[in-house]
Amino acid sequence: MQTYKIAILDFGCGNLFSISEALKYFKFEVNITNEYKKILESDVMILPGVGSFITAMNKIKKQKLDLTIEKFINTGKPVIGVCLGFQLLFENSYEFKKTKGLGIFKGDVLPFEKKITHSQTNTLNIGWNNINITNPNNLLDEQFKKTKLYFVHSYFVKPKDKNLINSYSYFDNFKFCSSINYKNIYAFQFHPEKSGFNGINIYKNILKILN
Amino acid sequence: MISHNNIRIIPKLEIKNLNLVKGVQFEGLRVLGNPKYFINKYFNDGADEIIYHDIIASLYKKKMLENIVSDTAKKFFIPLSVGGGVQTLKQIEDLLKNGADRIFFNSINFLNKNFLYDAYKEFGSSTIILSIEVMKLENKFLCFYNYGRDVSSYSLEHQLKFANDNGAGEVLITSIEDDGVGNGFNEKIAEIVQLNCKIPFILSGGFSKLEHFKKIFDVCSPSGIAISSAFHYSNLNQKHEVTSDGNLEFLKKEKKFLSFNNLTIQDIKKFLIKCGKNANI
Repeated sequence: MQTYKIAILDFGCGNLFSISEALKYFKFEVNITNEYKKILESDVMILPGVGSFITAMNKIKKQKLDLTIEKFINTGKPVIGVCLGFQLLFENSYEFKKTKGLGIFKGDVLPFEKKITHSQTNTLNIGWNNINITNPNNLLDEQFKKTKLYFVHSYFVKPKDKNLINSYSYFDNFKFCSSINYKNIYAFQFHPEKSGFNGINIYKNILKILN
Repeated sequence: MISHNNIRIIPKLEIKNLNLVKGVQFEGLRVLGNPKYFINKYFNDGADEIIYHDIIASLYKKKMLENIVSDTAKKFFIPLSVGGGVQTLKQIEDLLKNGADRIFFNSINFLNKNFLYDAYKEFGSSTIILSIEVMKLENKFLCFYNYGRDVSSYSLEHQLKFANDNGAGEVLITSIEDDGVGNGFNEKIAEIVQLNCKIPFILSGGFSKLEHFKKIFDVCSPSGIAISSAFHYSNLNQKHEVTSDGNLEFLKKEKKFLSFNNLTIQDIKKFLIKCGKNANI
């Protein structure tokens, strides 16, 4: 069987260990890297995500990784954004102050603040929740309809183009977009690598896209 | 379908010299076994998250947790919240690099008032948990540090406001007096937290029976419950390797302790649902 190479973009923040281990579990060859050549020669690129939007964008810009990301996207090979990596794909975030994202897609990253009715400023959405899949794809298929996935975030993505949306989830009674797909780009708000053995099966499905 | 958030059930493992230990009211630590064995149990029983607390790190400025954290993150794909002795942003980064998802700290806040805000700015509030260890002293609920060795002049209310104002994503509240006793969580503390905490909070200390949860839900809505003694003592007396440091006497005697037995994560979750709460089953 062919071994596929996956590059996890290392822009210098967060827990890249868990996502790397989840991919290795399915025998992918994983490189945590910021090197242009290594990234471009990979079969899949992952934009990981822990940390604050502004810190991540500053680190990406400083290393000119935004150009590498764009270049990889244009190759048509699969790109997967996870949590903050999902949010970075959009135009603007309002974490700390208005910050420009990668702007691959139109839309904003907004705080839960004031959207959640049950408490004053209880804005961290944390815990295991369902996703309501409205638009399944090869990565996020019907098998995950009943899977609970782990979320931890205070900001949510509001894509301008509703056709991108694969699934939505609820934070109490507030509905938000929990995953998108457009051509070769797949992205989730939840963490498959923290959602038990059911969750990491989402990464197993990368083989379906590649084969 | 409207789903209110699940209450997370979180086994809390206190670590000293690579062994799982547990005391009563932060004193008299007993070695209970190898943490690997317990983690395996808790993962299979449906833990929503794991807390690792290196309880001597603050006192002795040691850091031992990285290996345990990375071993766990390799085998089990669930959220890991890690703390104990955290004093620098670099330490947070190192723990995250080894597979921790969120970091909590307590003692450093009493030395450096800016640390919480700095950590929030660097890692985002979803990564940062403020830990509060609290006990009643002369009729006031005061915050302690250095694993209960030192008392601060700060009230519980003050420290909750500090968490709210400085970007903590969540608060971990441990009632020192109830820790390891198993008589239920302190309702007065729960009331104060509910009234003053504007961010999600995890309660820890005293939970050992299902009825303890019901009492607490009458006064507050925690985002998580952290449990140590009740889970650890329910899974005791298995033969596994421990390092030789620490008090091994209890483990050798193979006896039970208090009324801690047979509390499972699944039982608690079923009970939560019976109480009209949500749980991840």
